[in-house]
Amino acid sequence: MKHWLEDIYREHRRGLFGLALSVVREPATAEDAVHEAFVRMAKQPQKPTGDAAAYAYRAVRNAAIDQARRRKTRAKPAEEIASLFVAPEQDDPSWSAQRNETQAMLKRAIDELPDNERELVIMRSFGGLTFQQIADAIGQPLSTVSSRYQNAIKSLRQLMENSHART
Amino acid sequence: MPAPEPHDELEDLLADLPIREPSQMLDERINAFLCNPSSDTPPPRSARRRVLRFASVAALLLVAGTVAVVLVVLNQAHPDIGEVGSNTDDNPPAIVEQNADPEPDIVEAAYRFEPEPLRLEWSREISEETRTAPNGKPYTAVLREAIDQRTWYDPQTGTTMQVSTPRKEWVIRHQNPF
Repeated sequence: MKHWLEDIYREHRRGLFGLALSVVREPATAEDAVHEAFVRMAKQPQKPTGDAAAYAYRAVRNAAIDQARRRKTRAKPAEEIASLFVAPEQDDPSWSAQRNETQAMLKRAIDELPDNERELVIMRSFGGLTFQQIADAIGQPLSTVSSRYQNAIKSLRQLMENSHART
Repeated sequence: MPAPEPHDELEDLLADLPIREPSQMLDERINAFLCNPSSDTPPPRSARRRVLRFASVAALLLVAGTVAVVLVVLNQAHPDIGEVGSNTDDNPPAIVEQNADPEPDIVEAAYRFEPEPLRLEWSREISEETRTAPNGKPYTAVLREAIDQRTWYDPQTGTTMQVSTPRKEWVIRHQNPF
């Protein structure tokens, strides 16, 4: 039983933590949500029949929502950017100033996305989940997930263009 | 076979974003729990914070309660005496000590409070004239001026007071019949 949980955590720890962090907006609480999710999953009598990764993301998402309801707080946008991402390595010569600026705009754009679109971007881009796995995780049809993700990408591009126009 | 999912170049940028990694503490917590799922899992840090918050509140309440008890005890040690003379008790306290002689000796005062009698200090006759009484008989009237003096002791100041009062009067002198 515990082996598949170890594999899941080893492979998806960044994505799971990122998903929890996007919900609760606070790193310590996000870790508590991930830990609580694994405790819940370990209490199940047997391994889930469906996709294990989708099951884990669903458990973490539900645990994070429960944590957020208990805390009943919401960080301001500036704190969201600081808590979801870390600063890039400034000393790396491969990181040009333009690339840093682009990433900064992308970070702000992700923060401005609606919650239901942002979690799709995190599960897709940082968790590496397929649309079907995402659909299983959030309990939505595949078509809904696909269209919502495309809308999220369009929104990000538009937000980045707006941000670039303001600079 | 499912259709290939569309790929956007923006997704390459997303994949390069340095997302925050979970701490090593979470890794240790997960690994420790998965190694021994039946062991008591330490409560999450959010729950420990709640416990700490409740403990702080309980400690404050305990201190406040202790202070309140101390104040009550101190107040009881010094009860309100009330206004002097406001006792309405119909049963006066018992007499602790009573003088055995109901008629103590009367001690004469060491000094006299009554002033001395009025004393004529000086007098002189200014003039005299003959008048006729209602019965037709003549008499002599004398105008006299005099100074009376009264002396007394003032116990409050411890001094002897003296007052001189002038007066002028007609005095009837009896006339011998002829």
